[in-house]
Amino acid sequence: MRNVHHTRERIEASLRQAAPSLRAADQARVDAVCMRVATAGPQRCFAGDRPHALNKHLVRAAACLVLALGLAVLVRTPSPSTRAVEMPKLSLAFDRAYDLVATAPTLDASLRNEAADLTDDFADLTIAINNHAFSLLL
Amino acid sequence: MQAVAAGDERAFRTIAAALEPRLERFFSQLGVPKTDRDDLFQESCLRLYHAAGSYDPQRPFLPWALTVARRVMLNWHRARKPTVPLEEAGDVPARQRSPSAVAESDIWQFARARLPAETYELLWLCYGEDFEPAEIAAVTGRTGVHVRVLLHRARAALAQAMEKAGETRFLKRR
Repeated sequence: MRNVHHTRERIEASLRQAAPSLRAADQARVDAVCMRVATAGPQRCFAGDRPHALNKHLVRAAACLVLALGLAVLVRTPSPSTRAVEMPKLSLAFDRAYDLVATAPTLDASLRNEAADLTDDFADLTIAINNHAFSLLL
Repeated sequence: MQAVAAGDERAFRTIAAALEPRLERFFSQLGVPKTDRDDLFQESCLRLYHAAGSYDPQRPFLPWALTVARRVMLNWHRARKPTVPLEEAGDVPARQRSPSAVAESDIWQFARARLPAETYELLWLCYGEDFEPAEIAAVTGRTGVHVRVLLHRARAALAQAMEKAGETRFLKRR
């Protein structure tokens, strides 16, 4: 381990010492670039800056839109109690036959549970969308 | 740079004069031929001049300037990428130098002949330009941790190459 460290130090020292030193500035080059800058005219905004600023506004607008949609979904999602499950109207004979196969209260309860799960999922989804929207805004 | 952003040409001249040897050495170390270095220097300075307004004085100047120069150099590399029609591809001679054919006079030449260009660039920024890993990360668009890992690998690769070549004359005695 010490040997590895020792080699590393020697390599680092060799690299630092062998780095070529800086020469004096080439005045002809400096003059040429100054002349080019003088003819280039006044400074302009970086071409990349404008789209960047625009992108930022677009992202903010999109985040606001997502937030508004999320809130709308959250508000419009019916609560489990309001979502009544209507059983299909069946004939008496069919109903009796069906009662033999499956009991109605069990089916009703499972459908209610499904509806409640769906509502919960919608609420979770809305919260997740809102969180992402806030993180985009921040 | 604030004076440059305000349109002060004398301030720009001072910066250009200070940068010229730095960029010359930087381009030379990263394999830009002498004939093209002047163009790259001018293009880099022009971009720095136009971007002066976006410079943050809280940050060190040299890494920022080398970031711009590096991008100019990468664009130049991309633009000069040689393309040869498929029919003539067989006539192109192998131009890649084998390490043994290169007479290395110092450890940098040895490293350049054996390490990939990206690895060599990191070594140069760290030990040639004396940049901190965070500054190298800013210049090369990586994270600081990634740069540290790559530098560790670069040193290991260089040590391995030197050991393989039986090269000890570059290492400084302690």
